[in-house]
Amino acid sequence: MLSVYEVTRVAGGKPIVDRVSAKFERGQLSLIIGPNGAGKSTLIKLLSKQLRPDAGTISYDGMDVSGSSHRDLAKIRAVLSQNIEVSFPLRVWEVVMMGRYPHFAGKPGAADERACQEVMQFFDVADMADRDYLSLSGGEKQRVHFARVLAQIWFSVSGRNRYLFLDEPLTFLDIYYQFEFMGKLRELLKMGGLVIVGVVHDLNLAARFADNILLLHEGKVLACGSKTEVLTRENIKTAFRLEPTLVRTDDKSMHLVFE
Amino acid sequence: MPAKPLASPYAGIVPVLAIVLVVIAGFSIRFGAVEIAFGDMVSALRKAWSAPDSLQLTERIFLEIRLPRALACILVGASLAMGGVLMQALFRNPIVEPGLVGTSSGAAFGASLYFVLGAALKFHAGEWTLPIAACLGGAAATALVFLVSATTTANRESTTGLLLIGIAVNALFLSGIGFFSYIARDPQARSITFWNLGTLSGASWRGVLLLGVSTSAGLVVALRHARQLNALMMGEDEALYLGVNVGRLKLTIIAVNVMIVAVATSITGIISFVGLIVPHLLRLMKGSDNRFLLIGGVFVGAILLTLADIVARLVLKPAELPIGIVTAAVGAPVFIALLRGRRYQF
Repeated sequence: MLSVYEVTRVAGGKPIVDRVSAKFERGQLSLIIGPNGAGKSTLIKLLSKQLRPDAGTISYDGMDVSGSSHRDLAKIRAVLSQNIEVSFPLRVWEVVMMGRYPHFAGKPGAADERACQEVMQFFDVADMADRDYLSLSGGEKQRVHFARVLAQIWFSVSGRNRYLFLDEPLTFLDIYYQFEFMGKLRELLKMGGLVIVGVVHDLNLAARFADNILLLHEGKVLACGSKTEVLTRENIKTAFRLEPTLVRTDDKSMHLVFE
Repeated sequence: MPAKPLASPYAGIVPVLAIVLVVIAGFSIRFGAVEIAFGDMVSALRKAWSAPDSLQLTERIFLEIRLPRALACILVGASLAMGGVLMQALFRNPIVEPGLVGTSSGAAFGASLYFVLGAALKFHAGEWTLPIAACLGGAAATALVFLVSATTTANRESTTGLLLIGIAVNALFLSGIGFFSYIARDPQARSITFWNLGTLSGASWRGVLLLGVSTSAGLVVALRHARQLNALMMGEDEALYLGVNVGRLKLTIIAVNVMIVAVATSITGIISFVGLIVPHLLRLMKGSDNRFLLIGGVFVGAILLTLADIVARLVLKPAELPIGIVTAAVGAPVFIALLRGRRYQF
């Protein structure tokens, strides 16, 4: 379980993330939503320890992350960001193998090879394993990075939970791949021992796939819980300054329509 | 379905490069004012161990002039190529060369300072004085580039800012070299000129020893960080997510670059384009894994500089041309051709 307690991050004298507390359970897909400038991206960077909080603590299964090195964290925590640029030509499998770097010294072992093969199958990039990464389309590149990031935490290290953070990774994907990727995340959660926390822009995507939603507004938690608890007309209107119409369909999913 | 094994594209190339290097180095040693037969080389090596007093003249030329020169050429080529690989990986930019952060011009400045003012400064460390002066100059210029960029650029990680400051600091040190060669007496000025153009004519066993230590130590440290440099190809954030301490990595790589480039420059003067072109050639051949670029770079850098040395001695035979003129004359068009047919962006 990922616990966030009273976490604050200040930039330019202004709190970007302001005394945020939350808990993210394993086996659940937790998505962070909020308007521009609400602190979503900063919060996810704090969770992955790319940024350090000015106050408060973040712990993975009770272990305070401020006390662990990036090297150790990299074995159990992976981050998928948007728009990653690779500056030099590499084969697709070489990019995916980078995900295994925290796990081996010298040459990749059998487990590293197996992890790469399995994630490439899982994300349908096995066919392009030998292609030049730079020759791929934007969507293909992003799928290669999904595979790389998952390779990093494909196997559990001594039975510990693994943490996957998503920093708006769907921004440059079309609707088909957005749904495809969310579906893959649900499949991964079934494997167990995985905590997934992501930032998304699209409220309907959150409504469709999230088990748990955290709504940020001006650096503070405005609401947190299931989609019916969080995605209310009042909450959305406060955060986004637009009043939605909530449409429920028979398969218990929910849509927000703005007019 | 059993998946296809992930085949390394890099297998088998190093033995080929090693054989090419040995053959070319053999010809480089053989050729010169006096031709040395391959048989004489073998007998000289044998006698050097058992009976050093019975060496013939050609055997002594081989042992005291040709062999150290060939080895120095190999080690300098290797050092410059490694420096190029490291700087390009660090800046994530394929048009960077080791001299861009000030190292080469600083080393040349240190050397000119020694040529002109060495006697007056009362700074003496025997035969080591020139290399020490060059290394100090190289380290000082590099440190200046990084200090200025750390305190002026809003984003300390900004590569563009660092490169621009590198250009300014290079210009400053080159003007210092120009000043020294202007006030210098004739023989001093000639030494400085040779230095700025690069020459292997001063190679000695002492230089080979120094180069051997710096090149091999640099290679060992660089190889230990090769995978972290690979992760850096995706940017500093991604490298951090993969557990890389980016700040420490940068310092280590810059320190290695200063050491190998300053030592190489201290022996030969400024030799340009080798560090720029070798990583390009290797990437075009096989790919961008930095382990491969470093090991392959050692060989390809050595091969190219040995070829350049042969050309430098052929053009004005029996006189010889500074090798830096050859590398720049050949390197510039090759570089432009590479850019025109480029496969990757920057």
